Amino acid sequence: MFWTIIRREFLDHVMNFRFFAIFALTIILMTVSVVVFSANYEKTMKERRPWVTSYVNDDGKTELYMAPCTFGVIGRTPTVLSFCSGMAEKELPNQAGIELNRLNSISKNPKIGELISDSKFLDWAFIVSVILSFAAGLLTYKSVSGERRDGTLTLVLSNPLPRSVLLLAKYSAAMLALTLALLSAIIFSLITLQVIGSVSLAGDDFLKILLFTCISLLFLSIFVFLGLICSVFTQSPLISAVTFLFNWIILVFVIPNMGGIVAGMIGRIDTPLQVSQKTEAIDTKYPMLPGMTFSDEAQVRLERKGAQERLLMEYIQSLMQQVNVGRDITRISPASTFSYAAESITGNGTIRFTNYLNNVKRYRENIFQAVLGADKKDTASQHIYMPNSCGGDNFSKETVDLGNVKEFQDPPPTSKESLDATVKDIAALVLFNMIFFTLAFWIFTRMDVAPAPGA
Amino acid sequence: MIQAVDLTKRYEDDLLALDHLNLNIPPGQIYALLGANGAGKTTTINLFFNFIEPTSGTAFINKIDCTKNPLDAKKYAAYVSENVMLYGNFTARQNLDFFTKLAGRKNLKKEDYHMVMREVGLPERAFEQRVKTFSKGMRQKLGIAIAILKQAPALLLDEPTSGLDPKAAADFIELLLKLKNEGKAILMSTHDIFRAKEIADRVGIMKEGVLIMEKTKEDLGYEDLEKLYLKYMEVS
Amino acid sequence: MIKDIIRKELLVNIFSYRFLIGLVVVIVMMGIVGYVLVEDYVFRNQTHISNVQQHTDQLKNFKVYSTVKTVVDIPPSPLSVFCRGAKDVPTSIEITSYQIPSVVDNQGTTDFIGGGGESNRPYNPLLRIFTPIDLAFVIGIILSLFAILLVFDSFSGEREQGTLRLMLSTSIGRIQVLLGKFIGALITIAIPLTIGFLEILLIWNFFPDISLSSDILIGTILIYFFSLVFLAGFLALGLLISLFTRESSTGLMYLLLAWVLVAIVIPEGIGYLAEYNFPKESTKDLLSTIDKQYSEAVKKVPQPHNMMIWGSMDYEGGEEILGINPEAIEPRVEYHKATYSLKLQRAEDRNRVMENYADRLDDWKNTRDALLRTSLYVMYKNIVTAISGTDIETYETTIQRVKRYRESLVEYLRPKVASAQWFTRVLEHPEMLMTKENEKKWDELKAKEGAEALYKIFTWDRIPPLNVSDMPLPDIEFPGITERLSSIMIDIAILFSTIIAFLLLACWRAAYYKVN
Repeated sequence: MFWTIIRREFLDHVMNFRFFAIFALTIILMTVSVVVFSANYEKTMKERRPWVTSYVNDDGKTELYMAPCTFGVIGRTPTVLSFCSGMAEKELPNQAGIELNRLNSISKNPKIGELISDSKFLDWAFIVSVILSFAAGLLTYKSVSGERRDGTLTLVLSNPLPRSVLLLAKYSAAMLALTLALLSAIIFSLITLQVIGSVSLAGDDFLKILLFTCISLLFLSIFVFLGLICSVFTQSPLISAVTFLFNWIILVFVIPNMGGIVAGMIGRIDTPLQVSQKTEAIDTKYPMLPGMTFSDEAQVRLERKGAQERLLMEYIQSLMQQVNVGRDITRISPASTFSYAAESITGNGTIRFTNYLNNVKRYRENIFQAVLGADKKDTASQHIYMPNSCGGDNFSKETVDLGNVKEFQDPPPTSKESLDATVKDIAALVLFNMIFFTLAFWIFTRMDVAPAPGA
Repeated sequence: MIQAVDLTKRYEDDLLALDHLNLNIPPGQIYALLGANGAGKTTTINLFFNFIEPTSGTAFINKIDCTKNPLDAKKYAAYVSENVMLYGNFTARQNLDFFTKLAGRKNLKKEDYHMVMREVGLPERAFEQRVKTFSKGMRQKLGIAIAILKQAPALLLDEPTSGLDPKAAADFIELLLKLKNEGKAILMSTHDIFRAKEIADRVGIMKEGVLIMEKTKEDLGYEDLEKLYLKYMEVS
Repeated sequence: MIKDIIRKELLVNIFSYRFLIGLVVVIVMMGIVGYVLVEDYVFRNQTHISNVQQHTDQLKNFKVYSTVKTVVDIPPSPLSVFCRGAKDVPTSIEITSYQIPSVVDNQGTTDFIGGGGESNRPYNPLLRIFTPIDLAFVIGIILSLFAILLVFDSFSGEREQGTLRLMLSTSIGRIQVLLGKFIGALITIAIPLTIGFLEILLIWNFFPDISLSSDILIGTILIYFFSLVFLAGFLALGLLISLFTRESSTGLMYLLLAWVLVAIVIPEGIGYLAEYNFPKESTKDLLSTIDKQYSEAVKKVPQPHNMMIWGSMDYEGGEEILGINPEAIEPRVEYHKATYSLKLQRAEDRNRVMENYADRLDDWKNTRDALLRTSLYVMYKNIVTAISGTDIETYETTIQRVKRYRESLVEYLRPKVASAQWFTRVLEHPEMLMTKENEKKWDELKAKEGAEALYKIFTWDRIPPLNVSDMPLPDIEFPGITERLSSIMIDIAILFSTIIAFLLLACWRAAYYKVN
């Protein structure tokens, strides 16, 4: 009986023009997203240098005596899975300024011409959270209220069929249709990506895409339940449609977009002036005392650098915290929760940003240690590393190849890190599902399916 | 088979749709329920199928309480609504197939469906046509086909002949008689006093939720029924 | 007759849940968004004013001619609350002889986080991760959705109810019914719009620093007008679809599909698709060729030898020397005369490369924008961005004007290259001349009072600033409203024609509409 109903409902969905429109729209948009992304990715990766040129010349060697006064800039490598959910992180700072012993700054480097072009970016998460959530409602809004008005609901329920089974069957049929559309679009896009060939995905990436698909389905399930709830509490498909739409507008457009506005109003972060003051305070904390030797002075300067770096990291952390508070507020809407989950599960978004900063720190520390190590091998040097001072006898004057550490490795977050970051959001999505399911179930099993008296 | 004991339904807006209805329809009998709009006929049928819940009293199908064990009760009753709407995008046979499977009967073949559709008088060309192209009469016939295929001992119909042309109505009545002879208990609500007189073993007249009169076929003459109906309708 | 219909439509709409909920949502959103954006504008304006002051003070503080530069500060637009416009538009443009400003300048970095700053207002560039919304978003996305929810069942709903038949059984014409419904819906949707705009006026009033000039008021009224026109477009579309669908709820869904296409799929989808052809030619190679040519040419210029200097070199192309030996002065002047024209040439060559790239970008952008004009929402945003002055065309025009000013600045500076004041003031302050006598004095001073005493002599603070009162100052006229409107004439034309087309189609369809 269950399968009979699912079969009929599913066929009904699929034979409808609505489904065709959704299906076509999703495939087209996802493929466009993938195609454009791969074109740009190819270009970006071509221009990328394997190492930070301030520290390593074209011949792969490093001039040790220049190292203490050189400033380098390290750009963030775009992740392969940006087409999945990389929309938000486009706006985050994408380069870091370093000295060997300190992370100096982070900033955003807009590409030339970005000003004129008002560049857009379309990722899969966006398509799912806007188009497919709407599709979920499109398929279910008159699932019950329409049948009630038509009279088929009473005919169906005149059979020994529990209402819960009927509801579940309707839910399953809609989910099946949505899964069909989503999977077709994803598979088609991935095949297109393979054919184009400029982006190669590893096994880990496929796993992440799979997880992304699962989370998408979890998210869409919420909107299917929402559509059913709207369909169940009223007799008029019209009211069902309007109710669903109000909810969709608020959940998908109003709440997620208010996040930025609200985040800026709450949460305390230091003003730039306060950060300046804290930076100056470091000099007082690690003072240069009269009578200090050159070596002592170098030590104090290094300690200052370390403290400045910690200050910067704390500051960045507090900024990120404010962002997270803003995001937490928008988590009332499953659409926001889904975006954040999609971001973290594919290693994009805020966790990618933090991960990138850690990669930069690690790189700089590795090069620093390598430079110090290379200096130790030079017997002519006094082995005193004085920050921002070059050319003296205190440090090696050799030019060496530092080995593998000279390449900037920027691996995206591991699967475990991604999963850890996403667990709470997945739980939230599950909770949303349970609440909406209970609501739908509760209303449907209690309502009168008969048309109002008057016959 | 079809039994109501003090069946009462009061809606939330305090409308008393049904007031202590008592009914007993044994197998092989057709009971016609007459009454004006809003008299409570549809409410009665809805209660048997647990589409709504009674305020007090009980409805029984095959001695099973329709409110306490609705799923069980529904096995033994088939339903034909006043205006049979089916799934418009599907064909007659597909609709039939769907509802028959819901009724619990699987493994029926195409020929079985064709046979029943012929039995109810649907033209051959309509078998594989989409239901949204059907006239009301054709839909009613399909509705009865669905009920027949369910092979339930009780049959409850809500205004089955309303909107049918005389020929279609006559065909319909013939079918009902056949079903009655097969031993089904049939409850039929209707406006059509002429058909009611023709076919019913017993007739009940409802007014504002109350069964004000019940007469057997033998007690009634043709003219009597009309006079009785109008007389009782006038008293208000 | 038509007035009665309008009145009826108005009453029916206002007392519906849809209207009330929509009203509340829009009022709340416009209030919050408006407040935050106006506050942001006030802050940016304050920053702008202090920047202008700072740059004006700088004018009085040039020590040598070769490092003279002026700055044009672009005032933030008070209408930016309606539309944030292009991202990262620079707020000030530096003008020197050595560089010609261009729209495609690599602005360098934005959102710099490091060491702190001077501002006493917390700023979090990471918040850019959130979609920036403005009132154009609230009106263009949210209010347009509510407009759809008002009209989608205008005809099909009344037909289902049976009241349409009744209405048409009177002597009123169908076209009149259609127009009545249209106007009724327009007035209804104007209510939340008007309240929202009043909120903005109230918020502006709340901040004392904002003076509502006539330009601002005209701009606000224009934006209000075009918002209404935009919403009318959706109303017309809604009425049209209501006439085509049998069932109201299907009509709603189709209308929403259309909305999704117009507001989301076309702007984002086609916008992103166009990125495939984004002209990403690397200007770096061309620029480095020019720089190499320049370096080669400079090497050929005879350098004064035996030059002893005490001073700083400005990386931008100028030079500031505190102390220099007298024999080197004249040769250095000749050196600068020769290299200055080379520098000007380099600036022009580089600018030509940039402008070529800008032209390619413009071509690409024009194609893309033409495609994007299939969406009502895109046209609306174009119009509002232009009126509020936050569009890229305004910035481009400003840059053109700044370029012209720069030419006059170069004309002013050119004759000054022939004098030593181009790079040093030592002729007026002979105590800084690197002569043998002075060196002896400095040695004695260093022995007596230590090295710090020399810093007291060699400091720019002792040297009075140049008299540049005859220097041309940037008095840039920023494009006014009429100018800004001219760039969006085509959008306005398409917008109006689309709406009229919808209405005409609806009239035609209404004549054949089956009432049962």
